[in-house]
This record gives sequence, structure tokens and C-alpha cells, in this order.
Amino acid sequence: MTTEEMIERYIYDVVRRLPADQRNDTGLELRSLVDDMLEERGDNEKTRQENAEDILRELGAPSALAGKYRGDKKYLIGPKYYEQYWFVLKIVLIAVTVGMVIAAIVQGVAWMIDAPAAAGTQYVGSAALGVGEAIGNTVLGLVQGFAWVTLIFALVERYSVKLDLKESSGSAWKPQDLKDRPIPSEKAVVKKGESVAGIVFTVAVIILFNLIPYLMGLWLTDGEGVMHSVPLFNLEALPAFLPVLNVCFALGILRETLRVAIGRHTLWLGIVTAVLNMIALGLSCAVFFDPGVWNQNLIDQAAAINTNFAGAAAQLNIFWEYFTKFFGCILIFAFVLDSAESLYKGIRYGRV
Amino acid sequence: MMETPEEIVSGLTQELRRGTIVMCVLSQLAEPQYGYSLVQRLCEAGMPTEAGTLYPLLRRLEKQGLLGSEWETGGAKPRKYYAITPMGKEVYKRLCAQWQEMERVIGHMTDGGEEK
Repeated sequence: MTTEEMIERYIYDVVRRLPADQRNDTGLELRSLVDDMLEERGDNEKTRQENAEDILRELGAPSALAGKYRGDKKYLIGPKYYEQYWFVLKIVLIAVTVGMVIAAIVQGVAWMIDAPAAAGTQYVGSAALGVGEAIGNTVLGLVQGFAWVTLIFALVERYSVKLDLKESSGSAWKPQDLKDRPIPSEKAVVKKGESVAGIVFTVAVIILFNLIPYLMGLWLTDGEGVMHSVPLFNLEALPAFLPVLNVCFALGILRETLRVAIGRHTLWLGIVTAVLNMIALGLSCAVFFDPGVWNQNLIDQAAAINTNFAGAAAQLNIFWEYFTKFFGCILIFAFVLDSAESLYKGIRYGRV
Repeated sequence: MMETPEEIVSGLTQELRRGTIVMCVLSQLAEPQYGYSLVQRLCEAGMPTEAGTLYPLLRRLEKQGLLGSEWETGGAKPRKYYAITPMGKEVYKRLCAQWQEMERVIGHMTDGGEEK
């Protein structure tokens, strides 16, 4: 670590704890301060490196100096994470709202198709009940989304405050600590887009499984050209699996939220990602390797609707049997790949 | 563990200084100054203040509207200059009046050990 690197790392370590709109300006100002102080000591006997170390020690631990800039108040979610918090919260709330509205429309359409052409008043009553239920579900979903995102960020905040306290207590901090804290390169920054896509996708899947599972099916036309859906899953058995599945989905959202909150690949993030993935993998294997969750009669039911299916029923049955047996393997592959990638990037880019 | 009288005095003195540092800073910024020149001025005036304390303080005063700032990029190094705003002058004037009042009262109280 050269003297220049040490100074740059110090300043980075201070400003990364400040609200984003102050980072650049404060960084420049601190840089000119350190330069002024170095210049003033230019003609003493010490080397530039020693002088720089003295100066950084005088300025104090990065977390302590950042604390003075922030005026160190107690926060549930402080300025360091506030922007990421807003960002994730907005995505989750928008995804929940859009997903719920779509689910409500699908449920409404399905009900209108199924409902017998009942008498006027009863029809209106049921429709009103359906709309009320949809609004209730949406509010419940929004409250849950808000609560979970807030909880995750509050825990991240708590954890980082604890780390800061450990660093700035007493004279524990020394400039040489900066050796292990390189300024992250562009590559170490987590790609927000991927996490956003992950969160939106997961919210959609939660709504799909919980509210409108019959949409996940084979869509076929019968002899008269009418659309029918044959569900992929055993709709009678599925509710029993839902709690476990929902935990898996929640873990997925937790993982993506942590990625956005931390903002860069670190060893800690890699390990947490891998652990969350392994738990989710175990749970989802328990669900998808269970033959009971799948619709075992898929092909027979399809064949009953569409005659094209009837001809190839035997081969299709074998294919469907294999697919249900090995679907879990696809999940294993995806989870292991994601964990390995996170761990690799964590080791490669940041030991914090 | 008991604090020694020296430690107690040093702690209390620090608190006194903390209360007056804003006044000292405002008094020096009729003309624009950058952070480190202000550190040196305060030191020369007998009010040594660490840069790690002064820089965040300048930020805060700027945010409160007592100071204005401008980046001076013409020289060899870019520097951020701070100067007092009209609102800052108003606050400074009133602070000074408060200070004089306090000085008078405390002078009374400490002179002879009791208030007359």
C-alpha cells in the first residue's frame, strides 16, 4: 500500500458512510486537507509515509470522523443505507401492487367464466365481495412487503453500527488497517438491475403460487376451439406446500435486498448469500422432489381435451415423469451456481 | 475507577470550548477562508481545534445556513472556501451579546464566590 493509496482508501472509507450527495464534495475537501497538512510537515525529518500516518491518526478512525460529519444520531435506518432502502422499498411495493392487480383481474375473469349466469343481485354481491377481497389482499401484501424490507435494512444498519463501534473504540484504529480495505473497483459493485429483476420475479412467483396457481398449466384448445388449462401442480395438495415455498421465496427476496443494501461484493455478502441459498435449496428440494406436488395425471387430462395429445400420450407421459423427477436438479444447479459466483466475487473483490 | 482532578478539569474545559467553538469560527469568517487556513488561524489565536472536529463543523454550519461556500479551483489545489452569510452575521451578533451577558454574570458569581 503506497502513501497515496493509503490516503485514498482512508477518504473512501470515510465518505462511503455519508449520504451519497455529500460524498464527492466531502472527499475532495478531505483530500485537500490532507495535502495541506502534508505540505506543512514537508520539512520535518519524517518520511512522507510517516507524516501521512500521523495525519490520518489525528483525523481519527474513518467511522469516527464520518460519525462527526453525520452528527451521529441514532437511526433505525441511517443515511448510509437510506437510499438503498427507498430503492428496494419502491420496487417491492410497486411489484406487489402490480402483481396483486393482475392476480385480481385473473381471478375475476376466471370467476366470471365459471359463475353460472346467476340472478342480478346475487351476481353484484359476489362481485363486490371479490373486489373487497382483492383490495384486502393488496393492502396485506403491501404491509408485509414494507415490514420485511424495513426489518432487513434495520438489521443491516444495526450490524454496521456495531462494526463501526468496534473500530472507533479507544485507539484501536491505525492507518495500517487500511491495507485490507482497498477501494472497490467497478467490477465489485453489485449490479442493481439483476437484483431488481430477481425481486420483481420472486414477488410475481409468490402471487402466482398463492393466489392463481391454476395459471401455471398447459393451455390447450379442445375440439370446439375453447381454451382449457391443465394445471402442472396438484392443486389440492399445493396449499400444504405453500408455507415452505413461501419461506424459500422470502429468502430469495432477502438475498437480493442484502445485495442492494451492501452494494458491493464482500466476503461477508458471499457467505450470507451461500447460506441463504443452501437453506432455500433444501426447502425447495423437499417440495419439488415430492411427487405429490405435481399433477401426475397431466397428460391424461390433456389427452382428454385435445386429441393431438391422445396420440402421443405414452411418450409424453414418460417425458412428464422425467421432468417432475429432475426439476429439482435444475434448482440445485441454479442455486449452486449463484452461491459459487457470490462467494467467488466476495473473495476476489473484498475482504471486509 | 476515579478520575483525577486533572482529568475532570480537562473534560470540563473541553465542554466549555465545545460550546464556544461556533462563535470563534464565525468570528474568523468575515473574509472567505478554506478549512485548513482556519485551523491555523484558530491555533494562532490560542484556540487550537483539530481538523477532524472543524471540518464536520463547517459542513454543519453551512447546512444551517450560517456559512456559504465556494470551490476555488484556480490555484494548484482545489479548495473549498467558507464565508459567513447575512444570517450567520445575525446569529453571531446575538451569540456575542449572549456571551457578554454570561461573562458579566459569571464574573459576578466567581468574583468573591457569591452573587451580590
